[in-house]
Amino acid sequence: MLSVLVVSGFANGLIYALMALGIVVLAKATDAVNFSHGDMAALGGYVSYTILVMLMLGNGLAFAAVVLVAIATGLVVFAVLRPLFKPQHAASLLIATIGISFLLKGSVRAIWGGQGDYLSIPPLSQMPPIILGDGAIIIPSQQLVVSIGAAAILVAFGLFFRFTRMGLFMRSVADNSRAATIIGIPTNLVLAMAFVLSTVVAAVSGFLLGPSTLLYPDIGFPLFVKGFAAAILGGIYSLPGAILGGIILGVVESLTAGYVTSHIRDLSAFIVIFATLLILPAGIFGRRGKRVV
Amino acid sequence: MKLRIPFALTLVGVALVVGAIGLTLNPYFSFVLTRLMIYVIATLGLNILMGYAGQLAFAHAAMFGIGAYVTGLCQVRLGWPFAPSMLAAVVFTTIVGALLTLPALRLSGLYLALSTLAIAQAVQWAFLNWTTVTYGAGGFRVPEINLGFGLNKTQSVFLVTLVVTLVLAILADNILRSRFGRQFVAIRGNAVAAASMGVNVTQVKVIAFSLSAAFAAAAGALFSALLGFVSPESFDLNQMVLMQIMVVVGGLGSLIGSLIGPMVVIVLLELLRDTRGLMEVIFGVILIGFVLFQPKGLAAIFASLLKLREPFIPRSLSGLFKRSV
Repeated sequence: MLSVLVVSGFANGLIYALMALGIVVLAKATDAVNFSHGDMAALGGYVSYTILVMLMLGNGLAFAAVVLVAIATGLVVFAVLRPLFKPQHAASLLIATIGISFLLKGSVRAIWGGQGDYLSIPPLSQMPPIILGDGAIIIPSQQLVVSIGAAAILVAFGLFFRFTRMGLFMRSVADNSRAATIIGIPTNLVLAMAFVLSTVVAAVSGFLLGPSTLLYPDIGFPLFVKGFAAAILGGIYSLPGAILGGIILGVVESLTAGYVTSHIRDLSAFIVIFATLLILPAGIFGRRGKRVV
Repeated sequence: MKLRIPFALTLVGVALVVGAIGLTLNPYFSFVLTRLMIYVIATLGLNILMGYAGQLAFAHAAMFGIGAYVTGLCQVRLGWPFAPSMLAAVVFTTIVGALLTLPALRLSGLYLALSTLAIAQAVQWAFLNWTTVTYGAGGFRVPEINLGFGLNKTQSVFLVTLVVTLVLAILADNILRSRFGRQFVAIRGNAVAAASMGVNVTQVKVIAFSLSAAFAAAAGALFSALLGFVSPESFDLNQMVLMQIMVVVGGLGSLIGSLIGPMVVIVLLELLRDTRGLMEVIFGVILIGFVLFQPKGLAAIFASLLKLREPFIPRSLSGLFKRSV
């Protein structure tokens, strides 16, 4: 029983970890949180549905389409939200991303709503599941693909932020955008890239996760909340924290659902957010700074 | 707290006119008008919290829901009549709202917003899953208000709502012009400076959260009476976003804004009832549009034309966040 719970919790945890990664990427680069992150993931899922199910084309094409749509949408949304990326407009930015979330959700409902209430996508991999320990641990290949995807994103972005110039620019713009502009960093370009990257991560998460779940237009925000809980738990500026937070959240959720009551499942994310913010506000890997007044 | 007589009389006059018109309308328009007034009450509460005290909190729809649920449950499970049920709801929700202050003391800005969102989702979860108390996802019916005097139930709830809206509007005006109102504005501007001037920031935050919860509860109680039914989906995130839109479109922190915002939203809701996707898109565009181009809301137009004074003057969301953690 325990191993089943842990494995399925780990699987869900990877979903949350993927969402958290995108949230952390944006937070690291712009110090902002995007409420429409989940709806962007949903859009990725719906685009892959279009390619894979409606047009019956292959995985590679679906991935390319998802990335392209994500880049285009990310650019448009950034252009709209650009004036709000200043520190004094942080509240406005938050509310505006809520508006974007509604906009994306409504568009998805308008475009794909006629397809039916819940859409299913075929799995990304047809390989047989991996069985370890004489049947004690069974890992479906879809889950393996998701894990590899998450790991790839983690490594890619970790290297990006640490070792590339653009990554360095992003970190400095996030730290102090005025100073960054003064020393000649193209702030606008950096913010745009950061936002688009976060959007692409969201959409790719949707692409990876689509086959694991049934798609419906409202799936975005609950995904975002879980992802955000994971990001906060791990430390909102930490990429490995996002993964760890996601896995912990998934496993905790699964264990409480198994041993306490299954109704508790959805509540765990909220309890985690709340508890983390009150007890360990910087998260597990967060930097513990002084409270700025 | 001095009563501003001319203003109060103006409001009473408007209420009498609205009442007279409302009683002659057909039941559907009466329903819409009542719904509008309920949203006005809720928006007044949210304006006190967000517009005046500057606390970004997303739990308002949950307070609205708790008000509705407690009123309904007192009537259905305890057999109480409407008035004591509504009172119980307001008291209970006010206490819950006061408890919300606890996170607000440690967090601000984004983290406060998100933890209040988490609380709201937790409340929604309770509505759905605590079936022994709340009847779960299916909701439950509540008895309707009947005032007698030959009025039907729609007219009864209309009149009760009208009276409550009038009283609460005058109350809001008084509170905001009083010492409390100034203290709210002080902690919105800069909590540390306010504290150094002798403002008890904790106490003021508690009052702000409690007051807004009380308004939301009153609105929720009337809402349950209006629909004759209480169910969890009326109080979810969509409802919260609608309330945010009302506040932003109306004008944050402005009493007139609390009237204009709900009017715009209700009209749009009525026009777009059948096309849910399109409705969401339009609301999203409106929210973004106002945040970008008219952050002070529609009340700003009135404020400059009529040279209004506090507490009618709207303000924008900028500067609402203080950096923390």
